[in-house]
Amino acid sequence: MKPIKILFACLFFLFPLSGFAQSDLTPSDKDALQTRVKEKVEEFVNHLSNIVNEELTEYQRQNEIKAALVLFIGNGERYDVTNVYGEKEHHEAVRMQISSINHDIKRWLTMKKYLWNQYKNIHRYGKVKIESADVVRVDNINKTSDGHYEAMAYFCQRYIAYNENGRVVYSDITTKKIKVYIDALEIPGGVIWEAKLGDVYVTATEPNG
Amino acid sequence: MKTLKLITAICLAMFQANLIAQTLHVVVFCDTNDKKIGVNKESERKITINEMETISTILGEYGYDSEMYECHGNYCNKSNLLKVVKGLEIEPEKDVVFFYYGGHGSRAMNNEEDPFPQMCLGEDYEENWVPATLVKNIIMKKNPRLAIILTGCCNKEDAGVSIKSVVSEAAYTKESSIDKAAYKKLFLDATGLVMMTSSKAGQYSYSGKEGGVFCLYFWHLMEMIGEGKITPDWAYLCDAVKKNVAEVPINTRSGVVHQEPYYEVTPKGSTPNLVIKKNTTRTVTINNQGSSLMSDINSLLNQTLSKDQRLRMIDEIQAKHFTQGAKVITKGRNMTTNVDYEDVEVFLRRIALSPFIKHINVISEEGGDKKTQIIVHEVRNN
Repeated sequence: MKPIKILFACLFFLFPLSGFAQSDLTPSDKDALQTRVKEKVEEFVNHLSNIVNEELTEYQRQNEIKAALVLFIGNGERYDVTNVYGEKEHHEAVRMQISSINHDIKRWLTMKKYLWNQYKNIHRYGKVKIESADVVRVDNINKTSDGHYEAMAYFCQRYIAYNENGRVVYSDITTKKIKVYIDALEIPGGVIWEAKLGDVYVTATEPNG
Repeated sequence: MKTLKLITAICLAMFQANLIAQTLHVVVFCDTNDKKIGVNKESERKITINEMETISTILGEYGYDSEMYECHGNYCNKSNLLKVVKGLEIEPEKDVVFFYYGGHGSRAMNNEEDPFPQMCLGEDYEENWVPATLVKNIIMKKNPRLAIILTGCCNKEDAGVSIKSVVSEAAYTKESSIDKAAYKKLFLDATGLVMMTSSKAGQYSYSGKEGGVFCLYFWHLMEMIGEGKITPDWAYLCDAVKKNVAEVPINTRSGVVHQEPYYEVTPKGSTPNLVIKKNTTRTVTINNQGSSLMSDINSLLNQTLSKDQRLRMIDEIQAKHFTQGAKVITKGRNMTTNVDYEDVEVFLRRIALSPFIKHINVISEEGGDKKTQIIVHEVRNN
């Protein structure tokens, strides 16, 4: 009950004013967006599971890739961001960091390439399973010095590869974090707070079980 | 507003007469045109529609159909209010009525008999204001099993307001975390009348851009019932709303004030035995198109179809209901924060593939037969 009382206190303290400044997130906005970020990360992990699931149709798996890519800033392509000086900054496509329990090297792939690699099962395993190994967690949303909002989300995935005989040939549990960008988008009649996922970093890779 | 074809809704309701049994009738009137509080009431409208869409979906699993009549903007007036309320086809002892009004309200001087306000309904002339008690009397004359009548408006005396007759005339958003049994107990097992207004006689009611303090607390506490955190009992709920709202310090130009809601909960006799119909079709009569649009969108969540089948339905749904380049805005449960803005194709693909989305509530639509933009809220099961 406490949080809502704080919310109402804020709301009615500001009552005589015309409303909240549109460039700032209210506590209620932050709650709603934190939930939304969590939902997006959960959807991403679910898309990953389905992309590698060769029991599903190619049509569905290709649609899972499309749906996964639009969760990311730039939809998985190179993108521009307007900085505080009104200048366009060019950014490379969002990336996924990959790791293995067999070595210490972490590599980067563009998200698009990573997802298509998973789809094509480039390692030629008999079967691959990717599943969520823990609940998705999202840190508080904070305003950056350039006026944007960001948050960090964490998820944990279990990766299991089987050979043709159904024997496990590789498995790990990897904890990953995603930088999430939240920006105001002016549309007719209001402001949309758009949460887009950014680069995905590996924070830890451990053997499964 | 644009979305409402009231005449169609009323005609549909008339044609459906005698066909409907065990129905939840939802009536929402909000004065969204008002220059001072219109924005606040638009938030209340969206919150109320969204929460009642979710509750209707849950009650549908217990065999209840639902009908929704929703008037705002120019449609929020006395004539439409009386048409809708008098036109409700209520199955005596079985149906449930939920009525919500958000807008200006007032009361006559020296009217101690009626503790409830008169609803101004966007009408300039006080003779067009309608007492909430009149709405109660019209509805109760039809003998519903349960009627919930809520008014989010001021209840302050005004010298120019006359006492009006309240004698009725002849007739008239995490799904898995939702405790469905609690909503069943509240809406389907309870009987009688629940009548509540946002402030007691002689008091103003206050609202901000996100809606009125009464409306926000009412739905917040209702959500807690759905989460199994508080007792699913109308008297308990109303008391909790009253206490919580009364505690909120409201800063006004004349200093800090408090607003205290007023309620009456009158239970009927014993609960009748209900005939449970499984998998009944839900009827939403905001308008014809709305019903078909919502039903088509929700067909993409039909778990009995494979995801392949659902994905292949997208083109047809898009061509039938949307213009080229149409957009979908997704609202958070607070109905204020826009949390997503997508091309319709992206939205339809996303919901078709998601194992987490249980139901889509369509809050409003823009455009004619083919929509240029819709506003939705997702009911999720995680």
